[in-house]
Amino acid sequence: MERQPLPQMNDDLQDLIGKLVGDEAEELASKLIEGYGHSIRVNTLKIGEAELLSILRTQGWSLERIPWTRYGYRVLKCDVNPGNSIEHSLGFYYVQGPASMAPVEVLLPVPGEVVLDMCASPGSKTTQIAQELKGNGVVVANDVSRGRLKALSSNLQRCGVLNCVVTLADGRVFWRWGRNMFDKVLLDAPCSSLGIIIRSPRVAGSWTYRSSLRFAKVQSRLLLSAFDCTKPGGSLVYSTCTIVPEENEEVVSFLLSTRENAQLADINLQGLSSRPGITDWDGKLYPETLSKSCRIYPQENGSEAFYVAKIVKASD
Amino acid sequence: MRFRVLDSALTKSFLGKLVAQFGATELGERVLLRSGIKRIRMTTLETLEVASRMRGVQSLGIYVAKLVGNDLVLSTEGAQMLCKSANKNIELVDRERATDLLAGGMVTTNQKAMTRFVIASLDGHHLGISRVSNGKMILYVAKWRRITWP
Repeated sequence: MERQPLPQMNDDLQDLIGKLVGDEAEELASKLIEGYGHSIRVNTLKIGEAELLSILRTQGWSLERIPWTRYGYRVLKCDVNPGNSIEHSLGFYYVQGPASMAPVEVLLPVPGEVVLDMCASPGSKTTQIAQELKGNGVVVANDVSRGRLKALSSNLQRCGVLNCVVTLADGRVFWRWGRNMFDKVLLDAPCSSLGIIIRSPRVAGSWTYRSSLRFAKVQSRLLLSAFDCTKPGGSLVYSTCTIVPEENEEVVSFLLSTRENAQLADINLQGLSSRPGITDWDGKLYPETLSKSCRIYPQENGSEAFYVAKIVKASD
Repeated sequence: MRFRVLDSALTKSFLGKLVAQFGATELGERVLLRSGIKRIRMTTLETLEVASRMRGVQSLGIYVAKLVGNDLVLSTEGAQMLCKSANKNIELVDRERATDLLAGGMVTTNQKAMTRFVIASLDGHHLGISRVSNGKMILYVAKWRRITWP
C-alpha cells in the first residue's frame, strides 16, 4: 500500500519509521513533529512539592501529574513561559520532558550512593539524580565539552546541588580512573535525537542512516566504559532520545557480547506505556533478553521518544 | 584542579561575618572551599573525597559567597542555605518587586541608609543579596538566571 509522504521528513527517516511501527508511521511522525507541551519536575532539594504546587496554582497554573515520575508534572496552562518565572530562577523546578525523566526513575539512586552521570550536560538528569540522593552521597557529572559544561554548572547551581563533582573528560576513557567505583551509572548517550525533533526540526530533513552508525560507534565505547565504572552488584541505565535500533538495542547487544557479567534487568514504570526492545531488525537478531529494555513512543505517552535499558553488573 | 578547604579560623571568621550581617547562619556538616581570589564554594566532605579520585575536575558543590570589602555577598543559594533563619537586614518583597529584582532592575527600599547589603525575601524564600543605596536596592543576580518581564 502506498504511504503518503510524511511531513518535513526525508526518505531515510520515513523508511525507518515505516519499518519500526508499520501502520502507525504517520501517527508517530506527526507526534514527533508536534511536540508534547511543557512539563516540569519539582526540585525537592529546594522546596516541598505541595508548597510549590500551591504557589503555581495560585498563579493560575494548571498541572497534571506525570504518572511514571515521582515529581513530574505536565503544564496544561500557565500565563508565563515556564522557563521565565520567579520559581524557575530560584531553582524550585526544572523544565524537563516527560520521557526524559524516565531513565533516572529506572536507575533509582538512593541516598548515600555514589552515582556517575557520564554525559551530563545540560543537567536535567544530573539534578534529578541529586534530588533522589537528598544531599547524601555524591553525583559525578561528566561531559566531554567545555562549552556545554557552562549550562551544566548553571543548572547545578540553580538547583542547589551541593554534593556534585563536575568533570571534563571523554567518557570513553573514564574507566581508567573510575573502574568499579560507582554504585550506579547513567549513560544518556549523545545520539541522533530523532525522539526530540521538535527541538531541532532540521534533523527531520537531514538524518541519515550513516550518521546513526557513527553515533553507534561512540555509544558502544561509552557504554563499555560506563559498565566498567559500575561496581559489581551495581546497575547502569543506558538511554537515548532516538528510535534507531542501531543506536539502541544494537549498542546494548554489543555490551552483552563483550561483558559476560552484564545482564539486562526488567523495567517497571507504573503509568508508562512502553514497548519491548526490538530483537529482530533488518535481518539482524539481537539477544532475546533485549526485550526487557523499553521503547517509549510519543503517540502512546504524549512525550518525546526514548529508549531505556537497565543493566546490572553481576557481583564477583 | 586543587580546591583549598577553608581552615577552621577562616570558617569561623566567615560564619562570624554572616551572623554579624544577618543574625544567623547554618553550616552544619558542610565544608567551605576557597574558589578563585575572593569566592567561596560549599560542598560535603564525601564529595571532596570522591573528587580526589577523579580526573578533569572543574568544580565542586555550589558557589555561596564572595568577599566585597569587609562584607560577604551571598549568592542566591548561599542566602537560601546559609541564612534560612536570618533575622536582620532582610527586605520583604512582593511578587512584583521580586520580578523586578530578578530581572536585574532596581526597586525602592525601606532599609536604613547604614545597611549596604540586605537579603531580599519573597514569602519566606530568599532571592539573594541586594545592595542598598539611597533608598534603592538592586539584586546580585547572574545574567544567566535573570528573568524577563512577560
